[in-house]
Amino acid sequence: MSKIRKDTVKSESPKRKSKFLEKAAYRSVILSGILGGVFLALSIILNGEFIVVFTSDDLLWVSIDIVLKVLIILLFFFFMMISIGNYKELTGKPIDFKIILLIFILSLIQSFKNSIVFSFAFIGLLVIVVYLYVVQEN
Amino acid sequence: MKKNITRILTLIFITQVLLSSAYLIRNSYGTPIETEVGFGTKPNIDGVIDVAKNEWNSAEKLSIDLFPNQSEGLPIDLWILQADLSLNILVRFDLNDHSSSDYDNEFIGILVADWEDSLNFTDAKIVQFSNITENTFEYLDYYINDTVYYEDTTSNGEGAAILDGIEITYEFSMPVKNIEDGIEDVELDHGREFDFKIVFGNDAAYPGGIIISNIVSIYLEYPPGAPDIDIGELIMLTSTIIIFSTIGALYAFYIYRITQLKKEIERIRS
Repeated sequence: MSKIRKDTVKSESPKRKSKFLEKAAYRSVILSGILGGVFLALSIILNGEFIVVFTSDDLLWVSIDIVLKVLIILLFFFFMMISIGNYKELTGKPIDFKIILLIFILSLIQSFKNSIVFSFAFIGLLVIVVYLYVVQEN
Repeated sequence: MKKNITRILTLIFITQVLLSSAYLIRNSYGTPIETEVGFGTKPNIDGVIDVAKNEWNSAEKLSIDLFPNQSEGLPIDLWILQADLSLNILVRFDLNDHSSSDYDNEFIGILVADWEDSLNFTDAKIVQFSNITENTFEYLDYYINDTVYYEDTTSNGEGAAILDGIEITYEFSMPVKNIEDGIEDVELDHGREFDFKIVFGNDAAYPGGIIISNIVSIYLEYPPGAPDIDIGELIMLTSTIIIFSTIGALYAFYIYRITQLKKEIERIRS
C-alpha cells in the first residue's frame, strides 16, 4: 500500500513542480510587464519632457533630474527583459539577440532629448546586458 | 426664516469681501502688469526719441507707477518695442529732484526673470549715471545670484539715457534668441512670457540702491510672418511624439500577446 502511494507521489512531483514554475513564470511575465509599463509611462512624462519637474539650474537638482531619468530607463529595460525573457521561455523559445537589441534600442532612444542622460543610460544598459549574460551563462 | 435671511446676507457679504480682496491682490504692487509688444524697427539706443525717423512709433505704450509700497508711486511712461532679434524698452519720467545732487548717481535697471522661473530675477541691465548733470553714464550687464549682483564677463545689449530739463529718457535694447548669451543672461525667446522688473535708484549699489520698482510681464511674440513655432522645436516635438507613440504601440502589442499567452501555451502543449 505504502509502495503504491510512494510511486504516485514520485510521478506527480515533477509535474507539480513544472506547473508551479510555469505559474511563477506566467506571474512574472505579467508583473514585470506591468512594472515595465509603469516605467515607460514615467519615461514618457520625464524623458519626453511633457512635464519638467526640476527647473532649477542648481547642480544638485540637475544631477537628481539626470539620475531619475536614467534610472527610469534602466528599470524599464530590466523589467521588460525579465518579462519578455519569461514569455519566451513559456512559449518554448529562448530570448534571442535580436530581441535584446530591440529592447536595448527602444530603451536608449527614450533619452534622445538629453545627451547626458543618453550617455549614462547607454553605459547602464550595457552593464545590465553584461550582467544578465553572465547570470544566464552561470 | 429671519435666521436664514441673516445667514444668506452674511454669506453674500463674505463672498463680496473675498472677491474684492482678490481684485485688490491682483491689482496691487507685486503682481506683474501683463502686456504684449509692439513690432517695429530697432531704434537707436541713445536716449533720444527721433521723431523724424518714427522711432518708437509702433511701441506698446504703457503708463505705470514705480512703487516703494502700495502708496502713490512715481508715474513713468514704459514703451515696449520688439524688433526681429531685439527687445527694446523705453522708460521716461519727470522728476523735480533731478536738479538736486542727490540724484547724480541715478539709475534705471531692467531685471529679467527666466520664463520657467517667474519673478526670480537673475539678469540685470542697468543704465547708471555717474554724473547726471554732465550726462555721464554707463551701461551695465549683471547676473544675480541669490540677490548678489555680479558683472557679466561679456556684456550683452545696450542702454543709454538723456536728461532734458526735469524729464529723463532711458532706452534699453536686449537681444532676443541669442544662444551665445551663456548662463549669465536670461535667454529671451519668442512665444514665451518673461517677467521684467523696472527698478529705480539714486545710489550705485545693487540691490541696496533700489528705491522703487514695478513688475511687467511681457509676452514676446514671433515676428510677423514667421511661423508660430520654431522649426527646431517642431522637429523635436514631432520626433518625441513618433518615438514615444511607437514604443507605446509596441508595448500595447506585447500586452496583447501576454493576454494570448495562456492559449499559446495550451496550443504548444497539445
